[in-house]
Amino acid sequence: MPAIAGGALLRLAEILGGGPSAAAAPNPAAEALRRRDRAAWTQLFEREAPALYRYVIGRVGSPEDAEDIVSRTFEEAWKHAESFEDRGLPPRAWLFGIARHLTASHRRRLFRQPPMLRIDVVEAAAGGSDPEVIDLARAIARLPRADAEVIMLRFVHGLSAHEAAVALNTTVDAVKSRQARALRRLRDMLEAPASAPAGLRAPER
Amino acid sequence: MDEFAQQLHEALVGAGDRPPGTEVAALVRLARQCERIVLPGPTTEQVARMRRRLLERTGDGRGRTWPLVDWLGFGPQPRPLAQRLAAGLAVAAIAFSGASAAAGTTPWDAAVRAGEILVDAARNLRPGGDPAPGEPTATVTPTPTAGATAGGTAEPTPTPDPTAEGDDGGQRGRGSEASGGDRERTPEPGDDRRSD
Repeated sequence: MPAIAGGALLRLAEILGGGPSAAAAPNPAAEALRRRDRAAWTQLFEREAPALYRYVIGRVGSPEDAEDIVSRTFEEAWKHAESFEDRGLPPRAWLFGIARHLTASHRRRLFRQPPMLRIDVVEAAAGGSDPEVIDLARAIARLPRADAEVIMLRFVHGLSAHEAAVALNTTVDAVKSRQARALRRLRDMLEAPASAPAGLRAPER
Repeated sequence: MDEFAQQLHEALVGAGDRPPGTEVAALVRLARQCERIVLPGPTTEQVARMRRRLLERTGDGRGRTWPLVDWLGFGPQPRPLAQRLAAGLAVAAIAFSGASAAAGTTPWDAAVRAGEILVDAARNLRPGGDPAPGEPTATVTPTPTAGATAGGTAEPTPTPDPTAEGDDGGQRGRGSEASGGDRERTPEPGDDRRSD
């Protein structure tokens, strides 16, 4: 009985976490990707390439570099298609993990990596019409890298906690803890008088 | 993981069975504000280029033809030096085989000819070098000054006249006629000096 209760709790935690239902049946879509089915890969590209591009250009800034990194992401995924693990998650998490790795090593200078968010890209996309969003982006860019990364993946790019955990190569609990810490820091940063942007007020507690 | 992080996560995914606290609600609103950050997507041309690149990569759907092409150096992947050298030798062997089949010569003959061409070019392009054995020197020319200094006239160089006909079968040229034909020549004082 304790084992059943433990399994039920695990199941409940997965549901609460918005994660997979741990289906034992093989996923045909995942099998098609592993078999390198061309139609499946084309469909995957059409579905995920825009999101990957937004993630990469938010970090590197250059449209040409972003295009190249996204293409290399799919090439790497194609090359290692057999290693794709069906965890009941869409392959988006897997692709984001590859794109994250390629972006981190892109034009790397010693220990310097591309920032988690480039303000100029956000400004160009917003067109100056939404100063609150730009101020919020500036605050995110000032966060520590790990905090900014989890906020970007979870709330800007819309990955679930499980997908973010796969992309970040960590556990779901770590993602939950990190997102709580990051949101608190972001709130504190926005509430600080010296750095509070004029156009953005932190939400009331 | 602490309880607050779990509560916040439940509130973020809308799965909590209890009303979120004040701080949790504030952080959820802050997370919702982050969703308003918009990043630019790819243009239609960029999507087309990336799709074409993926389709080229996927090839026939299995990618079986690409490893050899990549190995030979026609793919996008960088390769180690040893592999590049081996691929270069393989490509050269294929090219030599094709050339020998088309020209009817063996690769060895072609290599020897190429070497000869290089040696000849090096000899011809050598500025001011020693002439090759058997090659006439341009600086040594017969001069008529020996006879002029002795007061006589230098004999022109006998050249065969192809139009001359005679007992000698056309071997006698104009120079012989100008110098008196078959007459024996009288020795002159300058001849002694020339002989010296």
